[in-house]
Amino acid sequence: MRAGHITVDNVGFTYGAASALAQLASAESDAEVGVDIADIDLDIPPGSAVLLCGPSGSGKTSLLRLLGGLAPQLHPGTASGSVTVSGREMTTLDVHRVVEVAATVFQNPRTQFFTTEVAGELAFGLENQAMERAEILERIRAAVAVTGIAGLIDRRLDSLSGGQLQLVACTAALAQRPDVILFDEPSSNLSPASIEILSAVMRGLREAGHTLVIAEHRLAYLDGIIDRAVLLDDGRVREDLPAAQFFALSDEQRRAKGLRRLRAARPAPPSVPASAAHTDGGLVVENLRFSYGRTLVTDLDRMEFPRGTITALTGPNGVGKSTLARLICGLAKQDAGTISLDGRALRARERNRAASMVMQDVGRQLFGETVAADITMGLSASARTALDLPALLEATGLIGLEERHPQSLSGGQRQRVAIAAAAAQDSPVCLFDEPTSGLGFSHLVGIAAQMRALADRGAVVIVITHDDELIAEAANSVITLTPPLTRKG
Amino acid sequence: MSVASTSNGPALSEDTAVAETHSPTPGDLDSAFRSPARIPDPRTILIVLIVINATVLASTSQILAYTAVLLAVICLATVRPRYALTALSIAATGTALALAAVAWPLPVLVFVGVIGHWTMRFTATAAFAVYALIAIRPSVLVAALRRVHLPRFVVVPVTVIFRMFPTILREAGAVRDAMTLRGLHPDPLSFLVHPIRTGELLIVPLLTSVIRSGDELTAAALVRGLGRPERPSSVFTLRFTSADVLLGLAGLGLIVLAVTTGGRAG
Repeated sequence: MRAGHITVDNVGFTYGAASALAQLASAESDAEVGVDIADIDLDIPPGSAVLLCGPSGSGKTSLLRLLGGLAPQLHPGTASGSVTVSGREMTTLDVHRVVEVAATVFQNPRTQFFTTEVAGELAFGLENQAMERAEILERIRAAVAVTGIAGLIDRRLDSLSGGQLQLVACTAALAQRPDVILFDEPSSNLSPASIEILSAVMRGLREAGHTLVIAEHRLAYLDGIIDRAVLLDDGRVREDLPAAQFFALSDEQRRAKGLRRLRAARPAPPSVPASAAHTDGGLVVENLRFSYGRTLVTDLDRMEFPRGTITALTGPNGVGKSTLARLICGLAKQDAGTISLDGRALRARERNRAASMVMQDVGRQLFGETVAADITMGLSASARTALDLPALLEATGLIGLEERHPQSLSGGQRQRVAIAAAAAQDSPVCLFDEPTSGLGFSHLVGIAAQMRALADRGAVVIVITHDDELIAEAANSVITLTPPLTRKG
Repeated sequence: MSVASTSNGPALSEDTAVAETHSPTPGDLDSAFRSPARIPDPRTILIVLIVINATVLASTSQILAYTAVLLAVICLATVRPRYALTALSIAATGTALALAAVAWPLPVLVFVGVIGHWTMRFTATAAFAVYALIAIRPSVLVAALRRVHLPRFVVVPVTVIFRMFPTILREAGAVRDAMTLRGLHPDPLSFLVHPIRTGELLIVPLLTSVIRSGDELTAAALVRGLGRPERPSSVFTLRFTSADVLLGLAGLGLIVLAVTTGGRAG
């Protein structure tokens, strides 16, 4: 059996009963908490690159876990059939031997590193294999030359952007010199510029002869990298297409398959008209300045966010989008300038009350013991009586879930609880932080509709996003932030 | 394969994610795997930390206390000059209050003077502890712990503490933000008035998100060979430099001072 050859022979996987705590803590997108798969047959020749795609809940993550020695080792369940990588049977391989054949680049750049600095992280997998120092340095040198992160090597990991972290993860994987590199939605948290670099690096890995398997929702950047696309649905392989045929699918065809765009979005101006009823009033930011220590992060002359409008806030990682959101919500106080709503300047405390935010990591903002309790939490008695909860549950697709613990729901459901809570608060300003990261096409359409509903009620809706597809689907206007000219004072 | 140059590779271009760094210094591999020469070995720092605590708290000698403050401030100045200045002013204020109490022994002044005296002493230990936290790189510490043959059940938790502590702080901050926006007021007052309710609101989302991070972290570490039967190697260079000699001598000086001057506290 040749190095880098993957065979999947009549494979199925059924998740075992996870502990209650594990279920609570599970963050995975929508139904992918544990999608059982069955009857999977694949043969991936050495040096080829294969895409696993399909709607949320199709089982692509489960399949990737089997290939990467993560299931059943770390995600308990029953595997049937045989998965081999370079001739090793993955379903029974000791988890600490996985490092010898396969490396996985995970979705979340913040939770895949075991150390606190780039250099230590690159060495981690090699030190664990008790390699000689000279060998480790040589491998890191070679890997860094491919990914181009020499400038980052003496940095702390917490000082890096998401895009930079994914490059570090790729470098660490490469330094291991594995036969196979697996990617679990690596672009989920990245800006378009970072995705471009990631794609260049993946091309480099391919040319270096590694077998690549990529589970992904965002597809356009993989054109030119992959040889084949395997479409999964409902835990089974539905189609196995050569790349040329896959990328030639029409827009209607890919929508019907629940896939995201196959070609990069044209930077066309947003075509969605704003709600005409609410063009008066809105949020205005003027002469806003904010610094962390001596680093000027925010320096804006004027910016308008009208009511009834969905405004997308974009720009490279680290440009200060999140800081601007924190300023708007009053979680940070500006050094100078005003933030006013309908012509009245608001202090930070007032902005706390006026704004609600749907966070990227939505589990952090669910406090109630039940969905219904969470949605009404923090409301005044009068607001509580005025609220039409059944209608709100209906509108957010949460009917039947009102008695569940919000932390026990899937990622998409939890996000809808947070949206419902924002709607119940009737906040004039609603912010969304990267609401579609790591989520599939149907989810994207759903979130666009939820934002539209909030805007139609007359709210100022601001969405921080890198996702061109979401912008095209939902935004009425786009503001691209650029770094302040004076970075350091 | 030989790759002599560590210059930026092909993927690096101006408008890239990598260029998003504010000051991309060209990395030199070897220097990335050792601390600068002015930083002593973690073992030296930890031993002197123990010496400072033991001597300053066990001996009543004023000279010893001043010397310890001076040592801690100098060390801190090599990594964070501004922190050193803060520590120095705190210690100076404490000393001034203590001296004032000696000069004018009024009841109020004596009370304040005793507090000032102990503030000065604790500044020595606190400033050096802060220095240790800043100066010791986690990776170098792990290398040092491995070098002295500490078992894995000691080394791995140390790594995890360094790794998870900032995560927990970040998650707690995010949960607090969310509470603020929901009007759930996570201020100190509400902790006093409704300790259980406020604690519960904070703890449940915090626990779920930290556990989730922990699970993902564990998976990522295990598939990269954490827990393999062989003893891990270490790519970080440990070497004793003149900084270790200086710090070691200073620690020795403290012990000598403690033995030769002053009486014993308590």
